[in-house]
Amino acid sequence: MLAWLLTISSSILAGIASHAIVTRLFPRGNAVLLFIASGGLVGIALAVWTIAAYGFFDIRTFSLILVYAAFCELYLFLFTLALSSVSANILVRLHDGSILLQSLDAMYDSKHMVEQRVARMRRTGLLIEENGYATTTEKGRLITLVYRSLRRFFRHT
Amino acid sequence: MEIINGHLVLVWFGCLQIVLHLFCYILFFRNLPSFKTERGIFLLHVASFMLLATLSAAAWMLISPSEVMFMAGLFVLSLHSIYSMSFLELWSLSQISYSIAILDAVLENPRASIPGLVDKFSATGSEKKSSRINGLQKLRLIDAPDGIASLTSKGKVVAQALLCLRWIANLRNSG
Repeated sequence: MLAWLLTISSSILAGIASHAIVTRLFPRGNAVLLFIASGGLVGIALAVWTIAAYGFFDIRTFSLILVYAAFCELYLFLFTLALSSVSANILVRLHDGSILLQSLDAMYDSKHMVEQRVARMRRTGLLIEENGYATTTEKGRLITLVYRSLRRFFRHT
Repeated sequence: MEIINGHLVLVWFGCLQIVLHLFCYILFFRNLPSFKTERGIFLLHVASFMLLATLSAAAWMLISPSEVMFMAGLFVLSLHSIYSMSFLELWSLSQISYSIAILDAVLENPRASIPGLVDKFSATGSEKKSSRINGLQKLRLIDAPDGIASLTSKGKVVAQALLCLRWIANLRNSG
């Protein structure tokens, strides 16, 4: 049990550390893709180690890999939240000190937030702009169709 | 042999519970108003997870307090965690994703003007922002007496954790 605990703890720490390293080696890279790559490599190393230690069809192998996978998903969710959530950003701003609600309003000017999102979607190839008009790319169209299917599935009105 | 069978039963039960949870959601829960809210859908998953955690703990304590049974419990709980996190992320994204809503509007109206899009979604953005501040106050993460917003002690812990995550992932952008 101790060996198992040490293995999973060190894998999780290695996953986090590898992400910290690659985001500094490639500061302009996409943080999500960098974690998928670095965390994925740690995961593969973990899988190889556990199969060698316990065998392929052992429950310890599957549980180690799945605990690590669950951690990866949680970590991805948390840092994308820290990156892009308005609420998370308000909390981080307030960490430096109190702010007038009016100033907070001005910082998160709605128009600026929309412009930022449109700019981000153009950078990531979801939208193109031609003479002040926006059109979706094929990638953007696909994402939108998936979004519409999900809205129907979850019965969001 | 008993230990091996016990842990396999737990694994199969865990997998079956996840499948049944999804089927029950598709057949019943998604049409009920209570489960069209963030709180409702979150509680639906928490309840299922807690049930599985209780059964796993009971199996470990009462049937076989062995390493294998413990691992089987961890296996099913991790599987349920992955299922719930994926489900809730997709649910949330399809409900409130600002960016995808903008994309949807562009697809609906090809060659939409960018200033027009900005005006349309700025109004939505203002509502989002004030509901976010109200939400943070309800969660007791911020206080805003006399129009000055500050973190509560709980909010300070959360903000510190967010800063730590940002530092690890070398993040600078804001939402």
